[in-house]
Amino acid sequence: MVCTLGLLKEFWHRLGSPRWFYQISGGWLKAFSALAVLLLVTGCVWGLAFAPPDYQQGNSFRIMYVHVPTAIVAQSAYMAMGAAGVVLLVWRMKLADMVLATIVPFGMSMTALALLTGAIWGKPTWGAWWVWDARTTSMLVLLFLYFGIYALRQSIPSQETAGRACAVLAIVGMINIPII
Amino acid sequence: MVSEPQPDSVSVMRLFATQLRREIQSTARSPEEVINPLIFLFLAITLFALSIGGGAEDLRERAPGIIWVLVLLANMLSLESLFRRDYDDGTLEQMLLLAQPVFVPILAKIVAQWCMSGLAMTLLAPLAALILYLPTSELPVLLLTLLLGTPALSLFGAVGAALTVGLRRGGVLLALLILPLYVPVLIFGAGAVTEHMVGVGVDAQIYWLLAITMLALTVAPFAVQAALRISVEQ
Repeated sequence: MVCTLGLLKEFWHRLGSPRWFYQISGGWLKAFSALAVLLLVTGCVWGLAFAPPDYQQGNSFRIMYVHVPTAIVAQSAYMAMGAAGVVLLVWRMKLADMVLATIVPFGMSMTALALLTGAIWGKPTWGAWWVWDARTTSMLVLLFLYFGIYALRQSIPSQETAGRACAVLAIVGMINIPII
Repeated sequence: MVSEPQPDSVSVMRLFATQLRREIQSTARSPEEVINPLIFLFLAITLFALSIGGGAEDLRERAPGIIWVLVLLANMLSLESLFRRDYDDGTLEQMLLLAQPVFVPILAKIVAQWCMSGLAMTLLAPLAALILYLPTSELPVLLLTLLLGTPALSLFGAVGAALTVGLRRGGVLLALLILPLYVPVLIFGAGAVTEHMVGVGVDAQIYWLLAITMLALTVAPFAVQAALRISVEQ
């Protein structure tokens, strides 16, 4: 029992070091990619072909199967970025810096996609591409928060400093998320 | 055995007062840093009045939004110089090496900045409201929201100023970093005045502004401290 715990602990600590992480996650990447393709294809076919049309919106609601997940991921990616920022500033783990750097473009594209699909859904449903209600506005502000972090990272030459500066900004921005 | 000197409450208060006095003195010697953002505020109001047309009805409806947005922008402009000179002449590094808690002089700097931007703009807001035909009955709400909201602007903005102080092209980047953080304050501030104009109660917005400012007050000085350490290192 103690031996297993020890092994688990060692494995966990190794995961925090970039060298080991790239070795270990390289193997996982293939499996995860295959799983992602499988789930995406299943979801697309199911959502577009098999799900019954909505009784009010007809077929236009099907974009919700893309819109809602991207919107959820866009916000949770920001929270994950803030968490990575805390880890980076408190424990100085290099891996957290990489998580931060990877999440920014990913979260940015998810936010943009959520806004785009929201606009496409809004045109037939609300009769307008854009409505200044609380949800759309907050997503737009989220996009600007991502842009800010991206711009800050681009403008600081030293990679290590850039990561920590972005961490501070991500944490301060995270406080704003529930308010927005 | 020599015991480590403990930062007692008296010395912390004295540190705060000394830093505040220094900030006020240095501003008194170059007042244009304070006056220029205020001139910008009224210049931009003039631009709005000219572009919308001087109709009293049009301006009155838009006055809360115009005033709040311009206060945001003017505050942002005055934030650029918050740490600039101290960074250039090395004072900032000395400040970060203090034995006392560093957030104390940082808070003093932010308080001084707020007095010269947020507070000054609150005091000038009646004038701005007057030339935008905002009814006198809305003035108390406008002043209260400005008084409660602008400290949050200075506090959040100081984080952005601290992050960009070491960068050569900080100007637009500062706007990109801090304007999204200003959004909640703008929503509740301008929203309160607009809703008061149509006769809706505004207690909720006032409480929200107060909550945001309290949150900023507890978090921002430490974020500024971390950001300054990062900026000084590079």
